[in-house]
Amino acid sequence: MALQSNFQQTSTIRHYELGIFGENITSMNEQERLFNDAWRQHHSAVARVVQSYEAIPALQEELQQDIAFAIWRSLPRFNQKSSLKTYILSIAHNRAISHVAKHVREGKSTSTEDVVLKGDDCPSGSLEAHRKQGRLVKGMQMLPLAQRQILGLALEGLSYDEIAEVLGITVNNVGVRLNRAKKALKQAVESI
Amino acid sequence: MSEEFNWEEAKNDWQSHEPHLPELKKNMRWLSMRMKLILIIDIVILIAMIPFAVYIFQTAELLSVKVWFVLAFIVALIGVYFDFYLRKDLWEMPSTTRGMYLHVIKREKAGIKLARFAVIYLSFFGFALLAWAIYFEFFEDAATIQKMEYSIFHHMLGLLVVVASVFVSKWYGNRKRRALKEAELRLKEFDTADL
Repeated sequence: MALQSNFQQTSTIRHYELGIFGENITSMNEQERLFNDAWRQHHSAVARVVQSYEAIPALQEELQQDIAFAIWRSLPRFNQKSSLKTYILSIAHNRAISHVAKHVREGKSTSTEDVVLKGDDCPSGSLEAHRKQGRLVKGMQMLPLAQRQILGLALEGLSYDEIAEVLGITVNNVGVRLNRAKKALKQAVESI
Repeated sequence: MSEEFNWEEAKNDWQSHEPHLPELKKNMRWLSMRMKLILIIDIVILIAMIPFAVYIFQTAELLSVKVWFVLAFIVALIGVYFDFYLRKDLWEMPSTTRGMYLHVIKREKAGIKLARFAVIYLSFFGFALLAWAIYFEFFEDAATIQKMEYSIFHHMLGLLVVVASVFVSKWYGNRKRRALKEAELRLKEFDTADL
């Protein structure tokens, strides 16, 4: 993939990076290109993270901006030990935690009824799919932060190993936590 | 109406869901430069104080002005230190969620430390201001006061600002204490999620 080769180039470019405050910065244009490619590919996943942590539209925008900035700054350090998606999701989830800490809330301060989902007013046959997605997002927002996070990663299709790496816990713990969280999500969704 | 929940179906629904969030409004390059600019300005201000200090200490200014300058320099120095410390996570992001929780805790503790420092230091500053006012009012000779265009009104205004700053610092400290409690709770919740 084109993106993959971009990141392979980065490791070479990194030798020429200028350091300010210990960070690695490729040339701004290269950094911008990396960011644009990554953002184009994964912005939907980031948007889902944003929506699962924050229910207030104005704050969703702020969180999305925060995450985008963190991704912009971190991309030159991407070492390909994990997939790009895992890397971006870990940044997104970690920024979301910081956001929650800053706003001292779990996205529960507004009613989840306020969440506007694409297709809420869609008259076509895809209405059913959007309704299901809506229930899923609302169900997620009803759960505690720790469960929301592990579910968010699992729903994005990350493996146990990848989830363990993102969270900083063991693979066994992932299994236990995820099973519990799935049950909680099932209950939440079925209660809507 | 409740429906049977299916994990695989939920996974598909989740991945095909594309939330509508507004386009990114701020330019990343500008945000990055702005962050560095703030820290550079911090350092420039600090460096700029050095020639100013030389000027004050070499010219025959009043001792009280010198004392004031030293106090202000200490405030600036510690302010810059905390500014760097609190912004540290912007270029030093922890790589795991657990690390992020610990980092948030560290940041809230730094905030509490900053607030505590501000309250103590500003109180000291306030008392110094008061003592200086008393000195000027009762002990300084009239010629010097006239030369300095000293006004008790300005002095009291300064004192008022210091007192207000103490209250703001107190409020900030309490807010940070609440945030720390919340962050510690979250970490505990995270650590015990599989128990």
